[in-house]
Amino acid sequence: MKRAGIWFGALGLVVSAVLIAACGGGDDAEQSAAAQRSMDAQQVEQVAQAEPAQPEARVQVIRDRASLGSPDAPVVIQEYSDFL
Amino acid sequence: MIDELIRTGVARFEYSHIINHGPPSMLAALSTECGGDQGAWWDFHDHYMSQWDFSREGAIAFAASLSLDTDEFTQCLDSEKHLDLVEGQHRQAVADGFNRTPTVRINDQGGAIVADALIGQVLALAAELEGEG
Repeated sequence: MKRAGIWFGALGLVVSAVLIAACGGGDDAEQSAAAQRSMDAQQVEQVAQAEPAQPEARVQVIRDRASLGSPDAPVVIQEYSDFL
Repeated sequence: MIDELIRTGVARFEYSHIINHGPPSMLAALSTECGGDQGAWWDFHDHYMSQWDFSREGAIAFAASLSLDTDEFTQCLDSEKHLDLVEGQHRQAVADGFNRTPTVRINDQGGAIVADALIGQVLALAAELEGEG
């Protein structure tokens, strides 16, 4: 009877060890996933830094009676039209 | 693309009236100019480019929808306040030989240019002017 108790005790230790190992492995997997996400985020950030927004030249568009655009524009597009 | 040319300061757009379809054309032109008196020239331009109601009542209703002073607008329209301006632009266009609409000129050159050719011509002329500057 005493021998059976020893066996059950040993079995309990083994089960405990397996559970602890399993839990530890889960933490590792989660840490690994988190590290991967962090790397992905850094890569996205690096790509964003490597591709700065294109500078766009803009002028003030003056929307006046029958004309549109900068008075200083070198080219004038004249449209002669009616509305029908 | 033409919008881009305007936004970047390469080109400016100007509109002149031609009256090729009688009273409806004239009413639309006069309404647009009366709208312009109250800062709504382009609202009327866009309105007439997108629908086919060329009646006096329709013009007044559109002015009201823009919250313009409809009494002032109606008086402007009925008195043909901008008749000289509109007829003057029409006469000048006819004198320049334009009898089709729309006709487009670039820096007083050309006429009846399709959009793709127009964009190409604007860019070429802008580059040429930049080279001179």
